[in-house]
Amino acid sequence: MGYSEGQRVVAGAICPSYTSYASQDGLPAQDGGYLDAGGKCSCHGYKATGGWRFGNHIDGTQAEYVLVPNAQANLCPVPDGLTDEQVLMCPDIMSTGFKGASLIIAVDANNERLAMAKKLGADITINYTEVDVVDECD
Amino acid sequence: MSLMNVIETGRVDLSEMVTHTYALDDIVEAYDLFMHQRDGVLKIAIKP
Repeated sequence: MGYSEGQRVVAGAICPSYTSYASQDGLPAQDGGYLDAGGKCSCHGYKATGGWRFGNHIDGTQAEYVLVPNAQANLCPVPDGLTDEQVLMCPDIMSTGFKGASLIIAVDANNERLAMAKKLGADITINYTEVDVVDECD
Repeated sequence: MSLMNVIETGRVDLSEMVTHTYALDDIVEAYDLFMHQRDGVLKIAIKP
């Protein structure tokens, strides 16, 4: 898919190179192909958080311009009818939460946040300042 | 199903998580608000 200047897009928080075996095997979050010097594709990947580059290997994404690595694979066009606010959680929160978890336990210290999590679909909410989370999960 | 599709079909609307909006030039204020969890803040949108 091509992109044009001025087009509204989101970029994933995890932006793999898609050159590692891990990526090609369906585990792009464990990428790591880009870690090799000289652009050689000799890395097998399977590195925990290997696909996480923004805010990890790449600083400064709260800026007017951001260079997205391997952009052809890591951008997603935003449909015209949707607001920025509607798609703002796509790059991280939604891509984590909608990956098919069968039981969602929300943990936070802030009851307002927990109420929102419950409203948006969390099965169980736990305030870690009030109870021991490990005990509760047992 | 893609996430964009999940949003477009109205299955979820997470826009209500965005409680505040700041201009990029005022981002230091936004960080201060978030750090101190004032004013019922959940998520802050930064606009360029």
